Amino acid sequence: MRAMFVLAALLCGNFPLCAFAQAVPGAAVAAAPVAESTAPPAEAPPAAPAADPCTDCITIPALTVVTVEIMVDLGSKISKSGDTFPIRLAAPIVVNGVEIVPAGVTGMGEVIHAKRSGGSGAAGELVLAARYLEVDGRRLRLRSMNLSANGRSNINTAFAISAVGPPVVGFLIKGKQANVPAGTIADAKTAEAFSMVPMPAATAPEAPAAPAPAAPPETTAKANPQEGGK
Amino acid sequence: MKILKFAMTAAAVTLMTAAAPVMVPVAAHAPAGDKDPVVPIAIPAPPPGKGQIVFFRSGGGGFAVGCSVNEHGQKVSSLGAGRYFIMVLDPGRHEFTVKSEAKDVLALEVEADETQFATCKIKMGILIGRPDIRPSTEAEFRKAKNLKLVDEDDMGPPELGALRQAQITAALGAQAPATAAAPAQ
Repeated sequence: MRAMFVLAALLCGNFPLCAFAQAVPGAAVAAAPVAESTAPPAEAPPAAPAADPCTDCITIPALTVVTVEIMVDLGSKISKSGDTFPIRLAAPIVVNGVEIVPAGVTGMGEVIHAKRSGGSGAAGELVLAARYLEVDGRRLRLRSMNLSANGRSNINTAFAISAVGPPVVGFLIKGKQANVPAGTIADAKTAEAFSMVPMPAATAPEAPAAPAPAAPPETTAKANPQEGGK
Repeated sequence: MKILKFAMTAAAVTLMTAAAPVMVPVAAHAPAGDKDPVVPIAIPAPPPGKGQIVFFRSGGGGFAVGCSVNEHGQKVSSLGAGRYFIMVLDPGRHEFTVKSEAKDVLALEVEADETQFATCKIKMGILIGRPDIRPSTEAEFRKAKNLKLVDEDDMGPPELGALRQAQITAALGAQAPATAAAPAQ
């Protein structure tokens, strides 16, 4: 009887702990159903946008196109899914003719998918994403970097060779790797509205002021991923 | 004897898939006849806050081999030669697999309100062709000739995101007035 009492006391004592563990974001704890019901909702309601006390701030609208430069060599052979890589703002971010963020600020990108070229003519694959720029001590989140590189596929060549010769030869035909050399320029977009005071080094507007709300320079040289050798 | 029979079957299957690209150009040179003009495939914009991927497979080598696209081990849709389907997804990283005698994986970053493209090709295998899934572009999709939507029977459960013809028609219909009302740029 006494042992049961102790056990019950222990269990009761555990419930609040479980509830707390659920509240911690990212904590993977298998909680008892009772604890789940008392736990706060997993997704906190989005914080209401606080009144911006900054009077000199300018907002970079969400989905503003930014031009970034890949700072290191990437490739389907040398990169792995999940790798991160440095990026740099290649052209300043200009809003209403005012340069808000100068070119040169750095940030980070991520390799979403990398696959080496293989036998039977399969080409190398590389899918990249821009994650953020470090601006004014904060992270300006990025999205929509349209940069996926495919090496040249030789699948049809492998089939054709196998049709006229021994099939095994087709397996030996390799596709080309996908390479994105350092210095490749790509477009991305801002993932959210971002308010900030224009960075001091670059407050002077450039050239003829364009009245467009978000005027990324027309240097939209699309990423030019190159096919490499094997 | 059994081994010899097996080897002969394997060789025959390999040759069948391998001969396909050789046969295709011959068919392509056949007189076109009085065909209707090709209407470009209309892809609706994804629902607000969602993204979508258009998976397609042009005709060509290994037409007899299926290319079933799966996510989290569940079949989203089959993808026969000359077919396509549209998959609506939540934004974020998604990983797709295709499987026959070997598995191939493709990861893509889906962005809200954007459409991406992926294609499946069949490469040579030992006994049968092996599907190879890779990222693609709209230009490549438009270049592929005579693509048709995957039949509903060949799609996985609707909750996995492959749009049915009725859903595509409804989405296009809903977007048409908005497009017409939008000021020309």
